[in-house]
Amino acid sequence: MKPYEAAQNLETIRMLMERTGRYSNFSGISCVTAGALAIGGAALCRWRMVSFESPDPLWKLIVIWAVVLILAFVQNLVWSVVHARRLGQPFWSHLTRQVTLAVLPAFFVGAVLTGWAIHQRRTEILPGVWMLMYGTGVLGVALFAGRLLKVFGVCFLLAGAACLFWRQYGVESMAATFGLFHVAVGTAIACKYHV
Amino acid sequence: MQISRVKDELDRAIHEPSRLRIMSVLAAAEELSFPELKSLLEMTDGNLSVHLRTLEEAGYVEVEKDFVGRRPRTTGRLTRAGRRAFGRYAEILARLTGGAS
Repeated sequence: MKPYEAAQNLETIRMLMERTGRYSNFSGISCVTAGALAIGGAALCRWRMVSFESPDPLWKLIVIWAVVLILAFVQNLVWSVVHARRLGQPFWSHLTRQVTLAVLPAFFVGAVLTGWAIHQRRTEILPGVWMLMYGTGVLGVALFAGRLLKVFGVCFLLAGAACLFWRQYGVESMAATFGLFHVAVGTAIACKYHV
Repeated sequence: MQISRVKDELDRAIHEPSRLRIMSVLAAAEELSFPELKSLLEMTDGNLSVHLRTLEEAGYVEVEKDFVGRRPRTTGRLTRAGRRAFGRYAEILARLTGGAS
């Protein structure tokens, strides 16, 4: 095979993967890791007696969940880049940009409501708000992905709605949703799609 | 770079153009139904079946047959070995194009 033929084949692969229009930069392992991080965050809250209902001091609650969010985001980003490179794809592809745009509004609203809740010391609403916003974001991504993500997003929406009405189990609901939901979906992705 | 040596490393099961196209779309999607594959790749039923079987025999593709209501449905997805092989294939192509520059 000559170099220009190899380039042509690579171009064919790129074109077909784009045309398929499915976002596939998901990793079961990355999803399970994110779930484990959330369970770790919830366990740390319980151990340090930090709750969403009466956070004292407030900064501990913010630091714990900010660290969980950053670690989960970074490990997912690293995995996505590695996955794209392995397939000879650009990471910041047209499809990745579309998926990012679909997710951004939900995360922007989530960030604004988080800021408001912290400012007003109404942190007991945060688990419910985060679940609702995350579920909305996941459903945005699901437009470009498989059925599993749609179910995942709906589960977060239902759990978020429930959490806003029953706010006394903030830490436990974080472990159950961001923790166990991720572990369950990550395991399903890893078993079914081998990624 | 020794192009002939790199060429020898190319996986024959994937290298055939139709099978490369099948592997590419399945790598981009978690799974695709037979009609989806047909329309994306613009292949005939017979052609698609033959190449899917070859990839299945190589252990790169899993083909699942089930029913939605009363309608039979065939879906294909890459196996773990298939993803690895496709990744390796893309790496080799990238090395070859690197050789061009």
